[in-house]
Amino acid sequence: MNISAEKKWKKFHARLVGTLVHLDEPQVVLLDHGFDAKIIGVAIDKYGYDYPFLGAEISFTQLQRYHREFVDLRYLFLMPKWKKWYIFDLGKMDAAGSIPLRIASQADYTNEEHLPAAGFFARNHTHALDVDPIEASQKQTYLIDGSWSPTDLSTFFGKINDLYSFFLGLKKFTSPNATIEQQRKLIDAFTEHALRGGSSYVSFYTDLKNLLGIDERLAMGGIKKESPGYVTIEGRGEILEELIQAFTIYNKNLNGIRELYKDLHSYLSKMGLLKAGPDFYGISLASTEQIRRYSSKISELLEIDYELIELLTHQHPLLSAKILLSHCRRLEKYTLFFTEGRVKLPPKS
Amino acid sequence: MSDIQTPADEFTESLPPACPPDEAVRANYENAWRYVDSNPPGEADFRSHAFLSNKNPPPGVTLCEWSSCSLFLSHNKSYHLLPKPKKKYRFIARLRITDQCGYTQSNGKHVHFWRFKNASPIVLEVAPL
Repeated sequence: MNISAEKKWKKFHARLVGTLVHLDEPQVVLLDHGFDAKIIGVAIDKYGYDYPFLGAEISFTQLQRYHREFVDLRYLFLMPKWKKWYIFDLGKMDAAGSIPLRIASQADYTNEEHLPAAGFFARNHTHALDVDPIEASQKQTYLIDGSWSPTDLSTFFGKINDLYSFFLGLKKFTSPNATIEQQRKLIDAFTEHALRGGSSYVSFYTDLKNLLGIDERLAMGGIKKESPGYVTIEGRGEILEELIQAFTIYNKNLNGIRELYKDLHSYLSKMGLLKAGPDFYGISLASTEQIRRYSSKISELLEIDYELIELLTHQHPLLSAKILLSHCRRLEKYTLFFTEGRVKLPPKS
Repeated sequence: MSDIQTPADEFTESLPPACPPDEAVRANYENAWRYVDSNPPGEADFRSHAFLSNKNPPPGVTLCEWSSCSLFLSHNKSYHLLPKPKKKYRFIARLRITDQCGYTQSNGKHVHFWRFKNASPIVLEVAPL
């Protein structure tokens, strides 16, 4: 059963994909209405119908966001992408699986008795579809303790998100399934920013995050803000694993990485290159080679493929160096929470 | 069904052929939850749609499932956020189901329950929704 069906259905007919919630009878169902058009339906009471439903026509991205719990069910009915609502009767499905649709009146789709209340999320589904719209994400829990301000939580999650986007970007670039277009966009993210300071680094990581699909993005799962408590993040399992590995590697080579960071940073500062952008061509060959040496050594200690970074920056040694330095700063900030004793990983079960 | 054949008239409702299905079992649940409309829950709160209406089941629901009632394996009031349950049910009952109560088929979250005649789940607690 292909949820992302590209077949065009007749305008006022849709195909039942499956039941998402069953409580004595189907309460929430999903219909397919053609390319990028799904209809999410909730059972309602309506005279003259056997099994009446109110349906809202949403996009595939909205369905993915709903499944990742970025939005609740009510949101899909208030803000369906295609701004169409239907009344349909599940009992009128024909032998071919086609269900006739009737455009819902405003009185129908704004009637609070027909709408789900706020707070119903996809985790409450009683049944899974044969094919889920997203790959199941994995979870990683961090045990937290001590005092945490809202800024601390934001910083911690922010650094994890930056590192996650970075590792996922590298992985996607080298994936055999990567299209030319995807690789080009990743190269753009690595080369379009001047990386002269502060906000341009933020823009670099923001661009990386924006290249991720809804099903790949990091999400904060549970949080228990107590001492001790926990924070759970959800994302691609292999990348979450890589994050943990990066932390282990960073700790293992901490002194060497910090020393090289200091040397590279000082060198760029001395040469007036910290504020120089990718369009700066006044770097001597000797300086270029020196920068490459530092970057290559840092990459080795971080166990990151330096040649891959160079590939993504079009062999620009200054850009490659700055990206590696920003990566180190994020690892350092992430690691600091562990050093402070406020975060630890749960024991391996 | 399990290796013990249960005569059809041992069930509180008349069931279709081959119902409960082979995968259904007689199991014990220390806690299971049912949405009900009365406190304490009465007979009507455990009736299936097959019993309550003359309608055929909707697509995607077998006649056997239509002849069951729904239980949940966790205390989840969220279904009361949905339009029809919001109108239909006023309470959530916590039950103890024993293997003397009937047959069940569970997917880990939702349970189809086919009740034996003269058998009632033990009602542990009833809370308003």
